[in-house]
Order: sequence, then C-alpha cells, then structure tokens
Amino acid sequence: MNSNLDHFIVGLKKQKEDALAYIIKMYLPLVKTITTKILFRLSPFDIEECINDVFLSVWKNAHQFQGDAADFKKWIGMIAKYKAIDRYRQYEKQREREHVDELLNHKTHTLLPEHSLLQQEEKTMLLFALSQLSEIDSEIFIMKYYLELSNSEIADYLNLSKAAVDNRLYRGKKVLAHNKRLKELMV
Amino acid sequence: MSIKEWVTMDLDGLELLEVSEYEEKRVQSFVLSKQKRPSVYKNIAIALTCILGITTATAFAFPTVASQIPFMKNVISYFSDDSNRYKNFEIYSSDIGQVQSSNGISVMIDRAVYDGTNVTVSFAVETDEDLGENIKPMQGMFNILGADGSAGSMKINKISENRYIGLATLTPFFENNINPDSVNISWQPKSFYSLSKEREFSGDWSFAFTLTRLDGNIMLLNKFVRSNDINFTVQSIEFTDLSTIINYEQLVSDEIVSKWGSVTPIFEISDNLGHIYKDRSGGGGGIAISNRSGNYLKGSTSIGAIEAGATQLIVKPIAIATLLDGEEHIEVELESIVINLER
Repeated sequence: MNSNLDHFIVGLKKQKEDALAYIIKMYLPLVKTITTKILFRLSPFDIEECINDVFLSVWKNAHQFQGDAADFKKWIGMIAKYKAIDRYRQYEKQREREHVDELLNHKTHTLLPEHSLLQQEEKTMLLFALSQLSEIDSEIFIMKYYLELSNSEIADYLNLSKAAVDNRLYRGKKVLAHNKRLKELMV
Repeated sequence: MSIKEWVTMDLDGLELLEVSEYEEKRVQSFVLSKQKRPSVYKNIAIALTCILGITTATAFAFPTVASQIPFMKNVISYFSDDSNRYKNFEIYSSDIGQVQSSNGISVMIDRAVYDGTNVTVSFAVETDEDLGENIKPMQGMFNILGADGSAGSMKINKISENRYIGLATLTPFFENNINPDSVNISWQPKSFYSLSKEREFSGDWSFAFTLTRLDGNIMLLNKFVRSNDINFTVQSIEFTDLSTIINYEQLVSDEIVSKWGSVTPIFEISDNLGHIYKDRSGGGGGIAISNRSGNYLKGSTSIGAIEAGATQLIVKPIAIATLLDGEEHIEVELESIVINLER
C-alpha cells in the first residue's frame, strides 16, 4: 500500500495526472474533514474553494515535498489546516471590517482587501517553504509568518513558554537565512 | 472551536467525512484546468473584452457635421462627450504622434493617457482606396505588456472620404490587482476589415509607446447599501485630472445567483449640481471580476473629472440579474450612495 503511495508521490512531483487522481482519492477525505471543521461557519462554496486551493497548491509545490508516504499525510494535512485557518481569519477580519466603519479613515492601508489578496501567491510560497522544516519548527514558523500570530499567541497554542518560542524562532531563522527569497518574505 | 484547537488538531484521530466520486473529479478537473492556464483572470478578461466591446460602443455618438479641425489632430473632438468623459483628455493626454504607412493605408496614434486604471488612445486612419463606412482592425486590440488581460472597446468612425478616426479604451488587469506606475503599450493590427466590401486590407503597422499614470488621490469610503439579496459597497474613489474611478464590491445572496446566473451592476452617477456623469446606458471604462459561484463581484467604473463646485457625488447602483442565456432579466434598484467630496 505505502510503496504504491511512494510511487504516486514520485509521479506527483513529475506532474503525472494519474498520480494526481490517486492523491485526491487518498487524501480528499482528510482535506475535506479538516477544512469543514475549521470553516464550519462559512458557506459550502468557501469550503470547496479552500479544498481546491489546497490540492492546487500541493500539485504545484509537490517538488518541495521530502519524505515518505507517512510524511505525506502529515504534510498535506498541515497545508490544509493552515490554509483553512488563514481563510477563516480573513473571513473574521472581513466581518469586523463591515462593522467598524469609523475606523476607516485612520487605518486605511490595512483595510484594502487587496492588501491581503495581493500577497496570496507569496504566502503560499512561504507556507510550502516553511513546511519543510522539522515538525515543531514548521508549525511555529507557519503560525508566525503565515498566520502572522504573535509569539505569545503561539506559545499559548502550543503550550510552550514564550521564551521557548522566541528561542526556536531565533535559531530557526539562522537555518533559513541561506534562503534569500525566503528572507525577503519574512522581513 | 478556536484557533488553538485547530492548530493542535490530531490529524490521525479524525473521523473522516465521506467523499463522492463526483467530488474527486471536481477537484481534479479544477487543478488540471489551472495548470493549463496560469492566470485565472486571463479568460475572464478576454470574455469581458467581448462583452464590454458591445456595450460601450453605443456610448460614442458621432457628429455628422464635418469639423474644420485639421485631420489627424485633435481626434477626440470628433467624439461626442455628453457625459463629460473626454473633457480633459486633450489637456492631460500625451501627444504620441506616431505615423506608419503600409499598402496605401496610413495609421496615426494621436494621443493617449493612463489614469492608473484605464488607458485611452485616440488614433486616425487614412486610406488611398475607399474602404467604405465601417472598418475594423483585425487582431487589432492594443496590447499592454505585463497585463494578464484587458477589457476594452474600440470605435472607428468615418469622418470624410478615406478618413477615419478611432478611440480605444482599455482596462488592463494586472496580477494581484497592482496597477503599475507606467504601462508599455503596443499595437500591431494585421489588417483592416471593411464590412461593406467584406474584404481585408492587410499591411504592416507597428506602434509602441509608454504612458505614465496621472497623479491621483484616493479616497476610502466603504459606504454600502443593501437590499434583501444584494449588498453593494463603494470601497474607494480615485480622482485624477482626467477621470474619476469608483471601486466597488457586490455581494449577492446564493438564492438570487442560483435563480439568475449572473448579477452585475450598472450605475446612475450625478452630482449635487445636477451634472450627469453616467446614466443607465452603460458605457465608459469598467471591469469586474466575479468569483466562480457568481455571488461576489469586485469591479470599477470610470467617469470623467468631477465638475468644479460639486460637493457631493451621488452613485445609484442598479443590479441587473440576468439568465446566462440573456433571455430574461430583472433590475434591482438600490438606494443612492451619497459621497461628500473633500475638496
């Protein structure tokens, strides 16, 4: 079973359509479950769009995946989880925006929807780059740079001390520093 | 559930939802369709080119009395300007003045301007042979380098024997909605087609020029009106010396989309002094991109510069819901949005 899957992961990296079909068959239930749980307040359309987005970005970034079949499940699950959380937070922001008209004149730049939309491509790139780090580091880095959470929020979510999060981010950044493109995105 | 619970979700312990074969196929065809066309917007934009091409052409009416202005100069004066759209074109546009002749047909780009959203180009054509009343360039849309696509219209009118004048308006669509500070435009029509003679007159014309965007002021608003099914927001207005660009968003209920297929707005735009910038007849630059299900639409519409002395702009959106085959439609009039101009 798993050797079969390994075969298809290689196929996916080579952009083989039968491999895509197989990966969808194997992981659509997982991706659908994760996105539905997180986006339960949004419309079925939003959930569908998120699922599509997950598979499209996995297809486009398959070459970045390293590991075996067991890692692949974790990987695609993590992409689905963070894509969905990101979408949920955008939805929340949108709702707030609709209620807070008077703030407009003061905080104009953050209120343009383009501000978040225009970075979507870059954000996906960042997400995939960070997904290659070791397990705990990748979660921390994704929360920090993809979801843009604060260090104390991350500490709270992962039951770590804030110092531990600071420390891991500091050390991780050194490791990532050789990747120039990534450095630009994280500044 | 909270973000904390989601972040720490145990992916192995999930009770998985069922997935139908149809859903698998849908995801697969979505992914593969994206692979073949890298830009989502390209096709939409091309489709819009056709639609807007038809609707906007009606906006230009042509004076029958020949003017005394030397031919191939001041082309814009040949186009009627009821809605004030071209009032400042002559003043703020750049003189391009490129002329090329091939096979007895001379083409000249007169003037052009880029206001940050729309590009307007005036040009003229002179022919040795009579090409008849109506001509159109073949493979002849203006190309904006770096744009994912553009929507636009072109109108060519005959002004005297063997002489024609043309006006093209384009709304380029750039990746991530970031419009650059300058645009490079090229135009290489392959031939001119004469409708009355049913013949193509080919030649070799090639133009290229660069336009820098006019300085503008953007005013953020987020003013919205809603009806039962439609939520309409004017997000911002951008003012330049040439034009006024209104950016909007429209959100409609799933019920109305599933019943009608397509819901798009038209506008009545006036000011507190009674000047009318846009009536329902459509026309003028504009572009709108909707999501796949059709319930969210984001777009812009352009009018000319606001008349001096006006302190309020009144924008009345009218949502037109149509069946996709165009056979039936309804209009939903929304309340007017009154915008105080800080000038």
